[in-house]
Amino acid sequence: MTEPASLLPPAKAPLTRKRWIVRLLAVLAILGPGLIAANAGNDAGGVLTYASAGSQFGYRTLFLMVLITVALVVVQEMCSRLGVYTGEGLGGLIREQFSARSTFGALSLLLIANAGLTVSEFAGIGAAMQIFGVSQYISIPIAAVAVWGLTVLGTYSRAERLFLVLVLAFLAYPIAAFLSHPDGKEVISNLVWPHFLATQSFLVLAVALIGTTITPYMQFYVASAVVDKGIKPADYRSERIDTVSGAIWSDVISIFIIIATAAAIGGTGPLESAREAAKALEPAVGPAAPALFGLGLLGASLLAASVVPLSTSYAIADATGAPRSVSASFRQAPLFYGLFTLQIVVGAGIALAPGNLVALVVNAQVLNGIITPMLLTYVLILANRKRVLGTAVNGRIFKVVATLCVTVVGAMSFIVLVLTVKGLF
Amino acid sequence: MPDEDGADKGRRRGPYLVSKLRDQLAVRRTIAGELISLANLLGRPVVDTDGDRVGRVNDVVVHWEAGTANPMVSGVLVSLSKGFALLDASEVTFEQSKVRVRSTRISVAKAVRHVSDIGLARDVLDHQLVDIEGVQVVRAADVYLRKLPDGWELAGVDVGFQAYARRLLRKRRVCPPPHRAVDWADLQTFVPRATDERTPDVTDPAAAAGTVGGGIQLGFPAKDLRKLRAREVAAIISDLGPRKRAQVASLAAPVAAAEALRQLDQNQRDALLGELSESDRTRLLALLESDDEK
Repeated sequence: MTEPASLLPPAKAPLTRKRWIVRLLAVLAILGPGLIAANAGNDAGGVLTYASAGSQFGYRTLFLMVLITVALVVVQEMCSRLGVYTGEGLGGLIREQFSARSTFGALSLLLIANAGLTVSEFAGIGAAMQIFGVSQYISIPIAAVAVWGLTVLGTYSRAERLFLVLVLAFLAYPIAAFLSHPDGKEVISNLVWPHFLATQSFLVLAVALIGTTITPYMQFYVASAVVDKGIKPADYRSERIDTVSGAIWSDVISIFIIIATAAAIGGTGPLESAREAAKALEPAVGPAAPALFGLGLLGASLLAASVVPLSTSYAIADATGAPRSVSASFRQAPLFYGLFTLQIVVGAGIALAPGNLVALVVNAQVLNGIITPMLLTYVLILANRKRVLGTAVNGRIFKVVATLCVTVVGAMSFIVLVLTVKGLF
Repeated sequence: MPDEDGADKGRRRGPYLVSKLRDQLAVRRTIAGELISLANLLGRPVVDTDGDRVGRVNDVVVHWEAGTANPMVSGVLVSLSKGFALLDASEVTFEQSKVRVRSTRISVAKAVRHVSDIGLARDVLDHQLVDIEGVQVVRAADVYLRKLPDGWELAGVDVGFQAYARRLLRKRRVCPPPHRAVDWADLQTFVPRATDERTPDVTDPAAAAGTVGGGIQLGFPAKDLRKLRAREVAAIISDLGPRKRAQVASLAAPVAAAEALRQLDQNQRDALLGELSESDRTRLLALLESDDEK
């Protein structure tokens, strides 16, 4: 008999206060992989998409964000479960369970798409620091060295703690949202009931929202990070709280970005950059708006500038069987750290290069539209396979919910891909 | 004279390349009769005595017994138009690009895998293995079968990228020469524990080849696993997940395993100990504590 994997811990005797404290401590000790993976999604590209959603369609996308949150929770939970119960990352599992050609194809696409994302993260760091009056030619190299040094030279547990502090920078968005005086009734009505528009621009934005919220690097990162952290099946209940709360926290922040921009500049049309969003908010939110947006953007971009290259390194080292651990030294895991270093150097380098190179590389993110349906299908098959997960395999109800999520997200990603390719010609 | 020397070199270069090519062809011809690449064989046709296709090669199964360095091929799992058939090795002839059935009829009845059988495509190809000789965790990019007078044995695996890259291209007519081959006797595998408690479902190759239960099959340590030193056990353990770590720790020399455990952080050590059997855990904990007292 397989136990259906529910999102909530099974109902047991009511928790006494002491047990609550013990549980809370257990969750805090494990806190990290799930929270970091999902929150890297509020990076430069994410902020721009959420801000655009608010400025273009007001509160109308809020209900969609609630649905996306459910899908993100389901997908991230499956990935962390796969990591904890098999002791392997997604790269290795895909190689074991699928053909050589599809593994190679998926990982090559991930490599290119993540390289594009890394460039946009460094560009995001540059943009955020420009809000504070620091030139990108100073901020990007310093950030690159800091991210590299923290991950390669320092101990990862310290780096992880810093990442968790960076997640706190996101509190800037709820503050901005409250300062912009949103219409509470309107917000709640849009959160609990769909107010969708049947237009192409709404569909494109909806797909962009899904694409920026559920991105392949998050799945690769969370599965490998739980393995690297040595989280065992017995601790899975605590890890599940980390993963689920991380995904929810990340999307609550996204929702606040939409609310802030919707209240301040709703109905004005799409935005060109996150910086423009920060500037546009100034009249409504006050002089603190650019600084608040800058802080959130900086935190997320720094986080993602480390998480995205790490996910590539994990995936490829996992699939080739090479040593991979953030606790290892460069000499012990040369492929893992070599790839990480290369991505940081190339990512920061291209972000600094003049001209339209950045725009070109950022377009590589379109590839995420191809990988997302592919990867989510792999994740779903793996989590449904008893031979992979044993007793932790997807339960019947979870299987239906997960299949629905994966199908909708996959179909939407495919639509955006077709629209983007059509737009190129 | 330099000019003549140069001309001489040019003249020698031609025959040298020809002889090198001839050597390579000779190697390939020898390999063709002696070695079969599993990756090259998978998906190839299984033909009957008349040469008509009856199915495709889904997996090659070896019978795994303690003490044998290189297990013998015991059968081949064939995908038929409906379901699967497990043919005994004595019923078929292996060729480079096909499997020929000797008997005129194929028994499609219960294709149940024996508990100590390993499906090479399912359990070994692309899976993590420990190369004891090279002290590293590898993934099998290809698996080689070697011809013996009385059948085929599992020779070893290829862990090189070339072997993997070959699989992305078209299949070859003959077995490609090994690139970074490791003898099977030097490998520690992690094969899922198989039970045949359930009625096999012939629509699923996994079930047709035996049902996989939880955990990892223990009791077949690689030849030199117990000779590994603490530093080497630690290096291997650091590249594996908790369950596989536990297997290596329980099969390695206890003192080396205890020392390797000491090098893990508390979280990872607990995860490993949690996967061990009660007796192994008690033994390793006793060793850890006795060292602490010193």
